[in-house]
Amino acid sequence: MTTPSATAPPEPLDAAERPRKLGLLSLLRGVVGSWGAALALGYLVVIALLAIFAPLVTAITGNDPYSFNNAALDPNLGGLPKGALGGISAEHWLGVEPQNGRDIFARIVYGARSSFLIALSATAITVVLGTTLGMIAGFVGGKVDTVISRLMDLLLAFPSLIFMIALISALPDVNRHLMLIIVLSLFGWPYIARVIRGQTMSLARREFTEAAIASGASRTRVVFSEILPNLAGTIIVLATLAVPGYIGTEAGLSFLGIGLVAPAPSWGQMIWSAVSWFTQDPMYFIIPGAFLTLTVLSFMVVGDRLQLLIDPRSGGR
Amino acid sequence: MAATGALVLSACSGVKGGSGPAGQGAPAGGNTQPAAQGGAAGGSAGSGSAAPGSGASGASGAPQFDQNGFVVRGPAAKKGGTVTVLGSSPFSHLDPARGNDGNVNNFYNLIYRGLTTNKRGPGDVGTETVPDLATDLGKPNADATEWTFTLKDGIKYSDGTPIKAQDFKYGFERALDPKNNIGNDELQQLIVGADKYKGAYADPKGLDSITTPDDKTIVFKLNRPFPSFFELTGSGPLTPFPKGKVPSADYLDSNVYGSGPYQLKSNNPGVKVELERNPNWDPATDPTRPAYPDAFVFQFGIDGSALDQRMLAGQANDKNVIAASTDPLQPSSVGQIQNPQTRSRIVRDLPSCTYFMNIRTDVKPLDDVKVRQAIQYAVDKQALITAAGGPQMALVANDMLLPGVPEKEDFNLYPSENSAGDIAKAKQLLAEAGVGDGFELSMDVRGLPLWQGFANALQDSLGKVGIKVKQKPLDSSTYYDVIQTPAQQSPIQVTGWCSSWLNGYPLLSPLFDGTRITKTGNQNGSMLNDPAINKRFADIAKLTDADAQNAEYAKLDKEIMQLAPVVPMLWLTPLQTVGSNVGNVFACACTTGYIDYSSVGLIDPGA
Repeated sequence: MTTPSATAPPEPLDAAERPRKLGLLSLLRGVVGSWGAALALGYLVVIALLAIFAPLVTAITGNDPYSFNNAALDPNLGGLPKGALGGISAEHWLGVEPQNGRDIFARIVYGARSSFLIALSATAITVVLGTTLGMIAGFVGGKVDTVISRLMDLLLAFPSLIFMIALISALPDVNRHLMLIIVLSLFGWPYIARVIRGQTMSLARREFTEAAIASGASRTRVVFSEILPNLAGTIIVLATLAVPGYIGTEAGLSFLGIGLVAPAPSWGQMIWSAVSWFTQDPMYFIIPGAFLTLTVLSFMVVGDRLQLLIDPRSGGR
Repeated sequence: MAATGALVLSACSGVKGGSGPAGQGAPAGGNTQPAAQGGAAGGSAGSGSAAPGSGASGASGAPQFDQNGFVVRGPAAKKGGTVTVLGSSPFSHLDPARGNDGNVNNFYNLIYRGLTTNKRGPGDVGTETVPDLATDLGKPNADATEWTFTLKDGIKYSDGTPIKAQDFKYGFERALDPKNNIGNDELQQLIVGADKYKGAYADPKGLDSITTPDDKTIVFKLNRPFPSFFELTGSGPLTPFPKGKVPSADYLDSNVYGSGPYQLKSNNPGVKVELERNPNWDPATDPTRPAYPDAFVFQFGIDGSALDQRMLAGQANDKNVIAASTDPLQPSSVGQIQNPQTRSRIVRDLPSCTYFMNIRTDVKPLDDVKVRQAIQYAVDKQALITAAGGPQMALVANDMLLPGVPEKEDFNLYPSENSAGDIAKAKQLLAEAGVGDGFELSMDVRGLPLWQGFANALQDSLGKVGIKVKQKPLDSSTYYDVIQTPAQQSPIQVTGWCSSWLNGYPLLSPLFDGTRITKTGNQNGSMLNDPAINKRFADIAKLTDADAQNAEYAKLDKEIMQLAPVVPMLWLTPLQTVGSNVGNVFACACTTGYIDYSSVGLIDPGA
């Protein structure tokens, strides 16, 4: 199970070098500049559009993710899809699920919705929580820092997967989308907070911060107008790298049967159902597996590229 | 040990069975096998793959196949060799008083014997009860409330101790100890005083209702007329044990003291059980068990998919192997059994469980019979069959009596083309009931793949007539606790009911007799409490003629279906695979529809 990994945090910049201000547009230009990252970004945009316009896209083929289609199956083969490659046809672009004939394309598209919704929500929450608590710990220091740091250590050391399994099994009736977002956020924020705390500590001792304090700026003003803007690059990188972690974790939890519940479409659940069919209908396994792998990979590639652009010394090519 | 009596919880997919909560808490294990079905029973497998004219009772002769190419009866077997049984989940209990699922009852029959047992053979043969340790099927008094059995001569336990009538009395009293009293409870409900008795260890005085005038005679007093008592006297709790040989209630869960053709050689719980011949078993006293192999090995903990692949590949060293009754083929493997060679190693088991959907008759708008009938028409049973693995692995069910129940009538009150549902008719009935615009319902869903497949199919079917179903997922182990508590139970849910005792009493009364509704542990999931139906149950129970009783239950089955409290969905017919050298295999109603372990042997023991 992946939990968002904090890759090597961008090292604090030395005094001589003021952080480079990078606009969103120039970042985008930078990402597109590498063909690998451009491809990855393109893929993510396509998946995101599919997810957002899922009802419209599935309306083209007329298949929703829940409708059974017995006609597409051969009941005498245990409900195996008719036709080659798991029943891929003009009507079912990516074939159908064995035993129930639900359209795989529709389920992939709606599954992307769930995956992105959960991963992006969890990322937003962890970024806000992690940045706020990280900055407070790093800037205020003292007892506050100790308390927050110990809490982070506790959460990082906690066997989070076991806790998630226990919690979700104990509360079977809750809204699983919400539950997953809460659980992922709860265990995800320390990874961000830890990096932000270190960065804040170093930024707090830099000349421009000291100058601001010396010229009488309030603490709040220092934090929000001097430190936060300088953390923006780090936050973007951390967030981009957190998303694939959450997508993977959601799929993993669904695979274990404690994520999203049937019949809600979910990639992890599709992969789990496909396991016993891999000899007879390998496409059922390959399709959601490929979507999941490519999505996680794309986020990683884009994240790495962003990290390289924001902090060229972090070990990129 | 005949597997008579209503059966409990399957080892695997966990269909709740039998009449009574016994066995529900049994650690059946392996709750994750999708298509595996536990307590099965049967008679002739209904339409489709019935085993016609399988009257041949001898094991000799050429193998017989059904029209689909599945084995009806495998080639003849010879004495000798070792048969290995592979399964995912271990036996629930070694103690015959405790275990009560199809697989373990089948196993008990190798090491334990009872007063009566079932005949061994394909089709209807297995439904017939015959004497085992007793000389006949018992002699009832005039109103069938008192039954007298006489024991055969020359019957012994595996250590050579002769079996006495007193041992049956002690064995049953021992089985009533609260620790052991988790198995088949049919006898407990019948024998006077047994429901209150605390067991032989707490109350050594014993039951007054079982008497032994001499070493060869045993007399049972029942609390009501019961014309088919001999069908229950082979059940696990009435296994004989001599006083003093079973020092504690737990002793028999790790030790065996039996009288069957085999005895325990080694027991590695959860991994392996090995049996060897019992030198004191006399075949002359035992006409039902051919006992061909010299030894049996049961191996557990094998993953279901891996087991399928191994069985279908049929490598040379797997030629003497059978897939356990807990591990029939998974639906995903059905695509691999299309060639006749492979099919000739597959037995289609007889159904013993009815899967159905409860419709709560006490919840609006389901209290209107028209709405319930509309639901009957709406359900696409073909989709359910496909979700169960296709027509080879399941039969459409249209009523609540299993195929093979005596006097059972085949009827379908809510027909549709190809059983795929009649949307127009359903919509019309909903409109007549004033809910033509549809409504919402929540549905309890058990967290097992097969059951989730059923729930998805039902949701799809009901959605087509405007009934919006909201699934409420429940953990597989707590599922029955919830749906048997009316205060927590959703308006609709899928459940299953199994019985190896093919009789209307265990199959209908717990489910539809309104006087048996309880606040917890309630089996009447539709909450049907119809005065006319309740009276019918009471009247039928008073009949002393078994045939008349069966005929009345068959009529009652139809009367219940007119009220539409449940949607009968399907009967599973699991596919069990055997190695190429295993002979005399057949699905037997005697072992709840599975391959009878006590009949199998090797075709060529020297190979």
